[in-house]
Amino acid sequence: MTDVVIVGAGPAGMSASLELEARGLSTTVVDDQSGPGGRIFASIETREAHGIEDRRGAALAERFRANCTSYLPGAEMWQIEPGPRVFVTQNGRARLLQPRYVLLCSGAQERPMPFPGWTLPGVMTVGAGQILLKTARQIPDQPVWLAGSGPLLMLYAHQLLAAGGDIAGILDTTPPMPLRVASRLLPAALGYSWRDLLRGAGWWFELRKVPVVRRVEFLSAEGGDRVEIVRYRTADGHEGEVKTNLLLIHDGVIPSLHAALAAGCDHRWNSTQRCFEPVTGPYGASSIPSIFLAGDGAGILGAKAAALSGRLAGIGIALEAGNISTEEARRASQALDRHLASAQRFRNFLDTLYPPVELRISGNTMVCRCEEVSAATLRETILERPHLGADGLKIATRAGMGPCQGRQCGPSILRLLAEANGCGREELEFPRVRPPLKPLTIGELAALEASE
Amino acid sequence: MFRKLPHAGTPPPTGAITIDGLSVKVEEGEPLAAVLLRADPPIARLTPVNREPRAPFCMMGACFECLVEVDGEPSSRSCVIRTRPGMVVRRQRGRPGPGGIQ
Repeated sequence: MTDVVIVGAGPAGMSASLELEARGLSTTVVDDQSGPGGRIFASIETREAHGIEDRRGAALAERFRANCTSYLPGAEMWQIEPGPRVFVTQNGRARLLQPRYVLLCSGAQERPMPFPGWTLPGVMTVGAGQILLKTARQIPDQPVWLAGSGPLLMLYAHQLLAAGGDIAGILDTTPPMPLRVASRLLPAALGYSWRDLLRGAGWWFELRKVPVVRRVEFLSAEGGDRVEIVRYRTADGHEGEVKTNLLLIHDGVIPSLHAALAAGCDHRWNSTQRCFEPVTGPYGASSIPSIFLAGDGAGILGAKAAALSGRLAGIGIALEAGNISTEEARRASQALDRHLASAQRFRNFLDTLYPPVELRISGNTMVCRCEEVSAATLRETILERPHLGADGLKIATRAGMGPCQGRQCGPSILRLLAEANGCGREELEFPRVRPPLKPLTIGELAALEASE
Repeated sequence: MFRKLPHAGTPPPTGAITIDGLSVKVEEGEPLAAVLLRADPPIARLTPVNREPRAPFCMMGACFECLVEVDGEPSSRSCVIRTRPGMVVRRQRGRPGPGGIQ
């Protein structure tokens, strides 16, 4: 029997596994990718490392492989229940794992950025562009348009230029920089990582020759079988259009919440980062006994902090398992706590420069991409039946009922509900999540064995 | 829509898969969705409700836009599936039924 099941082999999951194994607890790490690294270090074992971060990621993946008791790549966790009981499918076989503890390191996803035409082929996320570069050495075959805001957009623009790609321009949705607040937060951010800030400033300098349309407040994509024209409007009312077959969009990242929701973990609205996140206590403990959370899935702090919070959760689990004393845990976590507090100050600075934008959702926007439910349909339904919450709205319209289970429409549905009810999103709950979290065939389910 | 960059070191082995019956050269182990994005048309499926074309969108298993039939199994996310030589891929047209794609 494994002591701890870790879901996710990114920086948090890998670091937690190392911490736990070193403290005498065996780990089984479940991950949906073919190799360790998470999204940030995708394909790190087979691709060329770029810079110090990549080299650290490659070293972490190597140590993880050498020390993890059981690593299950290409595996999907499709249900988690109190106990804890974890249901996993790998190579067409379903298994039930019953460890003493579960640590969810499910990472982040990009915040859905709905606008008319965002479902057209040729509109993709910036994160998707970056994953294509990392896992398939694939870049746009023509000068590409980027739209949105955030550090990841800047990073991808830099990586694309470095790889020999071309950027036609950026439709920038970033609001004007609040200089006074930013300058107040800058010293603390410098204290956490002057190197990262220097890199960021370098990207700005590098991109100075790329055309930028600033203060974009409205976007729409048009075309037949794929995007052909992107129209925009800026805050001062200027309207324009660009011709392109590829538009990469981005509006920051939010925690991947579904695993924590399935486990029944309490979650709350984060008004600064405008996203729901799981509630965590000391050492990343969730509201459910024996289930812990770490990394960006527990709250957006970035990859470096994810490795720290992974180690912290490892210490917390070792403490609860009785493998270390309270005093040992305190001593081991002191420096981590300090670094994480510093990471939070760095994040506050980034959130000030790049606050979530959330463009207004116009009526003909397909909010639920799977079941093809428009914002207009959702707004009408809310108006006619104002008592419906997120779950009622799902039953009434099918929005959120498709294969993605609300990963793409959930945040937007809550925006529409809050807007119609004139309330804050902290008063709402994320739509309920049903098993299986990932597609499962009857054959896989029938072959389920309680192996551990 | 996309092109491949040359590999800096030893290039990975190549093989062939079929997409809707046409043979396509791929790098072994690259995400299937990356191959679809280089294909013509660069799409994964037509939607069940409005029969709209959809292509890979998030590349990280979260959006379920890149669903295709892989070796007879419908609604497989092509972004999390890595290519193997001989793989048989069919784009989905509408809702997959019990006998495969209608």
